[in-house]
Amino acid sequence: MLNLFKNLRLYFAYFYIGLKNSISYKTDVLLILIFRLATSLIMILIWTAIYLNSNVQKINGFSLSFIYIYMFMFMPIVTIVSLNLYNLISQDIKNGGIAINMIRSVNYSLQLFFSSIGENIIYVLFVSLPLIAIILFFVHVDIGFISLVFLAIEFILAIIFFSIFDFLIGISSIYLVDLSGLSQMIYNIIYFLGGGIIPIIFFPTQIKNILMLLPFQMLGFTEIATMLNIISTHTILTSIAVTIFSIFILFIATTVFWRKAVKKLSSIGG
Amino acid sequence: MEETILEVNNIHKKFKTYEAKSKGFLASLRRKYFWKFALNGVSFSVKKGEIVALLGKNGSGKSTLIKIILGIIYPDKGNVQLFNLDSWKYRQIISKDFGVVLGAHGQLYWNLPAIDTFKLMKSIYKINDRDFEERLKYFVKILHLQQVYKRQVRTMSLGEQMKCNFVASLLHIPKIVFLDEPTIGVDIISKLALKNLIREMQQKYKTTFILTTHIIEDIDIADRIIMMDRGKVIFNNKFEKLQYAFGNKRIIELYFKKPNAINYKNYGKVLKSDFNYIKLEVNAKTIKTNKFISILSDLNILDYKISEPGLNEIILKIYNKKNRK
Repeated sequence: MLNLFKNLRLYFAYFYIGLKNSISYKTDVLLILIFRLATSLIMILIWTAIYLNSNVQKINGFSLSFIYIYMFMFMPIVTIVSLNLYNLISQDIKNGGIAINMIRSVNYSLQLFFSSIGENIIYVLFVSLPLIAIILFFVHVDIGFISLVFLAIEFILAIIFFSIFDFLIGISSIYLVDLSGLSQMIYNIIYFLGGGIIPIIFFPTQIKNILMLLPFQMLGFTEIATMLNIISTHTILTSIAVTIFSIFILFIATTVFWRKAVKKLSSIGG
Repeated sequence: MEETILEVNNIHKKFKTYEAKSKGFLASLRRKYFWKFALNGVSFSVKKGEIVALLGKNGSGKSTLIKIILGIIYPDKGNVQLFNLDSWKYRQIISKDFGVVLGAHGQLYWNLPAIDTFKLMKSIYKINDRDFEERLKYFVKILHLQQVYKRQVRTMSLGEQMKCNFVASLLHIPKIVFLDEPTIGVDIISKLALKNLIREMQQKYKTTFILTTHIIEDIDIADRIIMMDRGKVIFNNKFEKLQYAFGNKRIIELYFKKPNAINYKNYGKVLKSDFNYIKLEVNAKTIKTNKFISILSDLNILDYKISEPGLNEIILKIYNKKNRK
């Protein structure tokens, strides 16, 4: 941690280069945005069909308009908290680019993290935050100061948690080489556990309680629930505690795994 | 006596790989796994300011060795001391003092101008503004990059990219530079510029260079040659020694005014002969030059030509000799 603050200027340089890099991929940025909005739209269509065919106004006390708001907010939040580092690491390992990154006197995970934040910032500033602001404006939600503080903590913890998780998945490609199958499976499960398909609040109490004890809720559910004021302060604090604990455990596991896995690094000869 | 900067001690490395057991569609399913020995007890040392060429065929273990020296790959056995520190354990500390150009893996950001990568290097190695400007100016001038380094990397030619990679790796004036196949796709003019740069840095900063290549023309810059084959060092000596040890054959061609009755078979192998022409292969080590010249001086020679074997021929000879063993 001390190292991080000492080298803050250096990591800002990585952030800056990530930002410049993403700006130069204008078409790619546009296509990703369209894809992400389309995903939200598909979820909305599915939920509309469910509501229309169930002949009820509310499911578990939530109306269709709540689902619209929830689904439109989910994808922008995923964009903020998930940096998709696993993909970059996996590519680096497969094509040997990891060699170049490892020979610099910079922590590999931190350089990756900051350049990805830099690349992501465009989506966050020009899509996620405006979209969330517009939705909140039309829904007339009044977010208090305490909720804003909670939100800030939730976002920071979520970014840290999913980055470490991505790193863990990414480095497993040292053993597995190709991660496409594994990553697709894992991230679909996480998307489900994080409330991306069914809001966690819709589940039966026992399942809901289990899901609220997992850190994956931070993928989008907890943030939306905090903004829309549908969970108690106690639940928010529990979620934060669960995430901090998970980060701690995950950090240790990833560090141990990295130290072991890096010795197996071999696919970069030539 | 110059200090030893790098010590490679008995490095072994093997990789698990597989080959297809059958042909066609099933080939990817039926595999026969086996261990490939990339390095088999490699040892050598390098002194400060030396230019060492690591020469070897494709798959001889050069790149694996470089990556082990850099602390990226963990050796199965043996160790590497770079600046008297274990390169695996202290990679992040010693990496401040080395520069690397991996021919197959550029470090430039593809979509950005090269200057952006240079500025990133400035931050990584904490180079002050004045030094950065001075060094950049120097490298840009010597490598003729004035019209290039502010351009987007993807619009550059392979040679221009390679030269920019050199700049990115040298801006912090490292004590030792590893060049892994640095001339891939580089034209002759750029090659000369890169060689000039290497020589200048060696003289100006006492920089040590370790160059791996399978291109024989690239090694003329080296003070010492280490040849590798099948994960082993098969030659480790000065360039001149290579010529002396393995390049002992000479081809002598003589043109006479009129035919003579000398039995040339006593001096070497007759490759071609005509009534006023002879082409001989002689052994420079066994033939007494003075004696040979005195015989020739009695003849009416119109013209002569003595040629040494090329570097390619010498290298091939070393490989063949080792393979026969």
